[in-house]
Amino acid sequence: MRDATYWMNILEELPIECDWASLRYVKDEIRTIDMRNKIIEQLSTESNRGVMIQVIVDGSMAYTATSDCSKDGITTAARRCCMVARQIKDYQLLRYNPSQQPITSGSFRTKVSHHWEDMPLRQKVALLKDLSGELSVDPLIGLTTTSLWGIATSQIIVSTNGTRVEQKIDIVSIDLAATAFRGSESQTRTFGGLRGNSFQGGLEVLDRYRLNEEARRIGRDAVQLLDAEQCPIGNYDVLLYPDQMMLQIHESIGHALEIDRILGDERNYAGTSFVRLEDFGSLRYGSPLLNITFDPTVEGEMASYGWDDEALPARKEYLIKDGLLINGLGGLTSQVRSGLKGVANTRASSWNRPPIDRMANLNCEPGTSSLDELLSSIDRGIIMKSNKSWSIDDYREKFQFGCEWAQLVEKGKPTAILKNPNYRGITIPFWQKLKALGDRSTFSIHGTPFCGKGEPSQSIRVGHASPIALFSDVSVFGGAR
Amino acid sequence: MTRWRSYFQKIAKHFFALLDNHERASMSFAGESSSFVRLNRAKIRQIGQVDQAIVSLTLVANRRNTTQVFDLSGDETFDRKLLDTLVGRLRDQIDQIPEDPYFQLPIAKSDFIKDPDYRPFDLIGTLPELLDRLNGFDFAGIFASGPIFRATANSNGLFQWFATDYFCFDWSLYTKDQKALKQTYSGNAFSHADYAERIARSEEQLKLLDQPFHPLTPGQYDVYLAPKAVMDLLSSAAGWGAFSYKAFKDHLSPFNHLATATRKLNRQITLADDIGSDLVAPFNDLGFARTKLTDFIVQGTMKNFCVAPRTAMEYSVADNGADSEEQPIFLSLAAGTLAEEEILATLGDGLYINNLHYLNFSDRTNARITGMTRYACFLVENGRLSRPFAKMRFDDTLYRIFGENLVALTTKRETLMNTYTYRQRNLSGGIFPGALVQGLRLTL
Repeated sequence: MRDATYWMNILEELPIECDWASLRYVKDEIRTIDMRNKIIEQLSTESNRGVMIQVIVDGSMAYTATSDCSKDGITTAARRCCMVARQIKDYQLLRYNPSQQPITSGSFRTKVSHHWEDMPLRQKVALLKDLSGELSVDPLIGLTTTSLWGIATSQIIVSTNGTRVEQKIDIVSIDLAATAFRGSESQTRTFGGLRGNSFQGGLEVLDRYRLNEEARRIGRDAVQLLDAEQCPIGNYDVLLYPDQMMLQIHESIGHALEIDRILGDERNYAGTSFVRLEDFGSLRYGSPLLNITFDPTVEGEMASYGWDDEALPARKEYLIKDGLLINGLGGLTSQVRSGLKGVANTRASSWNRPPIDRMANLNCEPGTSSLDELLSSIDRGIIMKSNKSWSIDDYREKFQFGCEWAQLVEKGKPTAILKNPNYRGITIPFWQKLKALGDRSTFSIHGTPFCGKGEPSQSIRVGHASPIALFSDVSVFGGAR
Repeated sequence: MTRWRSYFQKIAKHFFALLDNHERASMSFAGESSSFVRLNRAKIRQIGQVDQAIVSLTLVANRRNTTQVFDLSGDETFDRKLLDTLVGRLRDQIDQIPEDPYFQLPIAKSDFIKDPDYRPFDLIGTLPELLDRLNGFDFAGIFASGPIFRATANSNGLFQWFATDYFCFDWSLYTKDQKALKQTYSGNAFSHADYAERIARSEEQLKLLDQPFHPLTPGQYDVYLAPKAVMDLLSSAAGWGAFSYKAFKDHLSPFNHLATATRKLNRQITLADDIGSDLVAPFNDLGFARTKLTDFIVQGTMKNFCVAPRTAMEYSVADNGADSEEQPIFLSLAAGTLAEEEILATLGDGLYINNLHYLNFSDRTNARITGMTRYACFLVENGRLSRPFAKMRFDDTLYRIFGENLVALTTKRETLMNTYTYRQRNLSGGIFPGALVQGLRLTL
């Protein structure tokens, strides 16, 4: 692959007049093996490759993206970009200052010990077929799906004021699912909800698990759920496992703290936020146990990186500390607009979309309670695992989530398995009812490729790590009716 | 419009010439040359242009198949060299995988070509005039325009091409305290008069919105669901497999009970996938012809599904040319008998819901769906729009909403196009009446 020097030369030789320009080259390889009932349903390699040029002309910014990465193709794109920036400068919401654009250089690379290419395709296929067999623990299992994705993203950012950043990110994502059905009833159990087992790394990621055992457990769970009772209706203590905390954090903290949303950019599509700029530093978001970090430095987490797509160096930052809201998710442009400290979080899904404020890794820091301590503190509660449904309003307040699997807890003891567990609430009161947080032994990292936002829209990869968390007095209910 | 068409034909011919006698291949093309103008506070927040040309190439040999997706650069030397490399990579993959008994390619030759001569709509050049209309408004949204191309070709001799110069404007207007009214305007031929008329029409609704919210408590309410809200419900169900034959066989469809005839919807519900118009390409991603009209539900009873050729092979049923996701392209809900001028009077006291947001299933197997009211939603009192109400969560089943609780559908229907732009601009939509529903469950 051509390096930063090559692209810097291209940029510097562009016959354009502007006050600042950047070139972001992206090459994305997405290898997909999806199997359904032991037959490959999709085997594909997707190679996305293109360039986005951004320019500032007299305070006005525009972008052009093209899959024609030749010198001529980029020159045409850059010329159009400058022309547009010039043409509409009187109608811009913001004025961009070239001197505020970062000057930085360096490289980031995911640590990989077992590359995707090291395992022949036939071996990957055999693995998935084997796991399909393990999922089929019972004749009631009517559907098994197994899936393995390998993603390799290379990105180079160069700019006319001297930025040179190269990043190479490798991701492996494994998913297993079993659906049991009997009559009109069906229940599905998966490996962590929404492709929740997606990580940076190579195939060594798979070695963390006893995959065959996990597959058998998933199959047994699906069958067990067929005969389980409906989740009861009422107010209960709720013990959320990390593969549901992933969505709770994502929807009712992450999106609420995106500064571009607070500034109104997303109002027409994904919505805005109940959080106002003046809330930073004063809003009590949750109980004193709540500590939320933006952390792109966690090795192996889905959205770790060295620089964001505006070339800001990425660092761990607290967003909520001891329950108090202190910082927002906003990159360079949002920091200038809002006056807030922000973080290095401006990202684009690929070369064909402009960078906007995104979540990256958003984590709940662990507490101090062991799982036994959490359980024994519950008189009447429900454990919930693995998200399967998510919904929240456009201000990020009224939410509802559904999980795959639940278990009643009575006087500290887990008892009956429950199906179709759902719960609803309102963001601030909910987080203020955080009663206890699991310690590091309960902490696990998850990630998903499916966070959607923006106009035009873009889906991006995010990471969420969390311990098990206990909330009091939550409104829960089951299915049907 | 013909530059990409002749280029794609050339590239496809080059690849097919590389094949051995026992090999077959299919190529699909999804391209666009798009202008995007993102707006906030009636000014430009981000502006850009995207040229992309995505090719999906499937090699088939010995009952096996594998796919490579890549961006065409438009540089013929580069793209030919890439294809020469890819054929070897695909052959290596084919050698390592088991047979696929369900994959098939269309055998029938078709030379469907839609490649109209348009004068491209100059969105950037027109922007000052468009934005000047917004003076005094608080406005957020996106203007997207430019040609969109879809094509397929295969080594059996098939070639199909569809092109359209399409714009889609999607925006919201806001009162001082951020109550929002949503509008869209899309099509092939932009009219300043139509655009201006939509903006002008919004002023009355904004005046009505500009009142304090009326708080509601959880309970059951009689509601009018505007066409967009009806679309929100049915499109969401479709996205989760409600009309997918594969989802039905996998017991994952929200309409499983409907499909097995253990439940029915109201007899007023007749719903089809109707792609007779020229708004969408009449072929799927492998080149199979889409059936022009598929009746999903007739008078409340489920009749047909979206069936992809692969699913058809697996279950020995007929396909209707659906894509692999088996989602409808253009949902058409039949009109009812309620005249527009009678909606409010018939409702009497209740709620007028323009849009629903962030829908998902609380219990997918039983079609129990939740979501939020959003944008301009009003209390109706004594048959008149009264005041806006604060956002509420609903949680109810599609069997109740479009079943025993459906009172009437309107005579007038609205054509609504999807505004999705994930990865590429979307060409799909539907036509829907409004719906009067009793006892909708609001929960929070």
